[in-house]
Amino acid sequence: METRDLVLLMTIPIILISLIIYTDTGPAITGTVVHEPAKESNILGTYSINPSFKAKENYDLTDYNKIRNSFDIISNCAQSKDVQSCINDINANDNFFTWSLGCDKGAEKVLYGFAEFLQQCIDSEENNCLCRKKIDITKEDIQSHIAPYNEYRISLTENAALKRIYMSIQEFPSLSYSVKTRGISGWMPKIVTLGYSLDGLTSYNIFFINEIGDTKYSFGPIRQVIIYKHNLNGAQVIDFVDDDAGILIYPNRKPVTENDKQIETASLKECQTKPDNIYKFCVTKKDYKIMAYDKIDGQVKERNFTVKFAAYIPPVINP
Amino acid sequence: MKKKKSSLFFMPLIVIILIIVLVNLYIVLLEKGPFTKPIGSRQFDLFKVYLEAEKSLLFIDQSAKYSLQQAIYELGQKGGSSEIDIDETPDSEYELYETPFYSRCGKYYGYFIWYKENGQNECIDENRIQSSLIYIFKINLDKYLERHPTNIPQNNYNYEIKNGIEIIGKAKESLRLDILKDENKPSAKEPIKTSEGLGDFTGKEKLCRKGKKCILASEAYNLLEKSQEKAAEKGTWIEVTDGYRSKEEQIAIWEGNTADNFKVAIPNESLRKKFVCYPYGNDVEQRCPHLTGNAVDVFLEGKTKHTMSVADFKLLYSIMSSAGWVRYTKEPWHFECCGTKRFEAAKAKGVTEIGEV
Repeated sequence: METRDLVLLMTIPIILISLIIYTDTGPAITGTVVHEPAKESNILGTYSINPSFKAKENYDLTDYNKIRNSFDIISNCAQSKDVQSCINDINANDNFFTWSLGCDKGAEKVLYGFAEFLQQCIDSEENNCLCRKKIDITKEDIQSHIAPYNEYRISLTENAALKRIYMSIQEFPSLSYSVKTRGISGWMPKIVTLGYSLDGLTSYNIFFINEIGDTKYSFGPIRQVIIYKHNLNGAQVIDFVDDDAGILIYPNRKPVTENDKQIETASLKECQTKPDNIYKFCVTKKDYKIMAYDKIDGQVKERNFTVKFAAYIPPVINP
Repeated sequence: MKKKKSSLFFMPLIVIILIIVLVNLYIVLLEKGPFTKPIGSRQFDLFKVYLEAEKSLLFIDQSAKYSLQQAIYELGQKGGSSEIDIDETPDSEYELYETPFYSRCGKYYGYFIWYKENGQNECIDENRIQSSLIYIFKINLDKYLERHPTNIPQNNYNYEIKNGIEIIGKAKESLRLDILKDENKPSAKEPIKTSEGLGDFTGKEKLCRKGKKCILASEAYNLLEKSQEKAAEKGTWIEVTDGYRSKEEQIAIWEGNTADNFKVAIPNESLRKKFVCYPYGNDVEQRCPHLTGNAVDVFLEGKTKHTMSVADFKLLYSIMSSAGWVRYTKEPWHFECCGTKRFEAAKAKGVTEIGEV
């Protein structure tokens, strides 16, 4: 090899290195997937990709049509029988679904049960009577659907302008409901607590705040909720009251009186609730489970697929 | 003889070239400083971004699968219906902070009503079931996407549903991943000019909510940066969730071509006009301020209209109004500036909050 060839050989890598360095000081990488960024940016370029997707699940939306068809059968049947018997008939013949009247569990059961009781009492056409609700949450319900708490706490907020009482369960912010008051007011609780252990209900307390003076009162532990529906100076009133040895008392422990006479609990009749003929249905698909999260128990697991809906069924008109 | 003469010139020429190259190399290397990265590291960075993109695609596919299962389950719990979250016009201050929802026949103690007393049988139909499934699916998918470290755009899909069930999400925009020169440095983005001459600051940390598209007119953007400074003074920051919307996007919302499917949820046009800005007519920009690029929906750090307290809204209002924005009374997260109809009306009245004009 001649000297000049050697020199030429040495020059080649030097030129290449120089080229690399020069290229590096120029614009950033360009091409189909990157573009030139703004000057003095830390971004060399951008890589872009189409994020379209396809997701498949072995389920058919025509289930809803099948359920509607079965509901028509129940609705017709309910003109001659009670709804539960009609559901039993359907369950005996339906290979795809199992029907039931309502399937609230855990927190839903507590909230909607309380809301329904209050709404029915407000809507009752009777006066000078008592609405009562026995506190019941079964051991089975607690063990199956219990959340990792030992208390349900219902908060109530009254809005006089909108004539509504808003209620929600603190541990489940997405669970809420509003009851229409129709302008009726009275002693209303601010918080209702329901304590439980795995063996069953342990306590039920109702807390009140008297806004005049901001005084706090409570009932509890109690075994039943009592509402006294009556007239006061021409206006309808509903008061949450308690039974103290056969005498009705207000949350401030003062006895409920009429014409300066204490009212005995036994002297008042039960308020008859007005049936609205709306039924809650739960239709569970047989032999099908789906992996899903449920806020009621806070778990992701395989669950039954249930369609929940409410529907009006006309009352039976006796000839 | 001739050959020898040329080689005499060749050698000095090579030496001169060599000296020039070496001097140049020395100067360039002197300017550049020492090599801090091994040769090929940028190519590896590109590979890393490619792998990140592939991981993101896998994440989207898995999220879609889980979201579909969850959506089918939730759809059953909601009786084939859905609660569509809309910017409802509230009737009172109390309702302003309530969770707004719309359902055709309402609910009965948590159960969606299918048949009402008056014989109304239009509470549920196949269209509604399908659009509810897509809506619930989209809500669940967005929850997954916002948890991914990459800024995966939300509201980015046109959905198609096939029996069986198969949901196809066709992306409107690409997923874009930045290739950084230095991973340790933040990718401080400046707004990119769009074809309409607006500034796109999508992905700008602590100013544009993750997964959201953020585009504003330049004057509005400057005002927004001023608001961010005001927020920093108060120990917080603000995040934009919605800015400029093109007319086509507004038409898509109105015509039900988004996951919300307002056309199915609210078939009555005059009622729909209460919740969705009507996108037709010559005065559309005056009626729909988002179309001007001078209106923003903004929240405090990481909060939503459901998690913002009354105190949070008051703080947001003070931050935005001190920077020069005008709040729309009926949507306490919506602010306007720079010549919109509401902004001008508020300025004429000397106020920083205004209702319908």
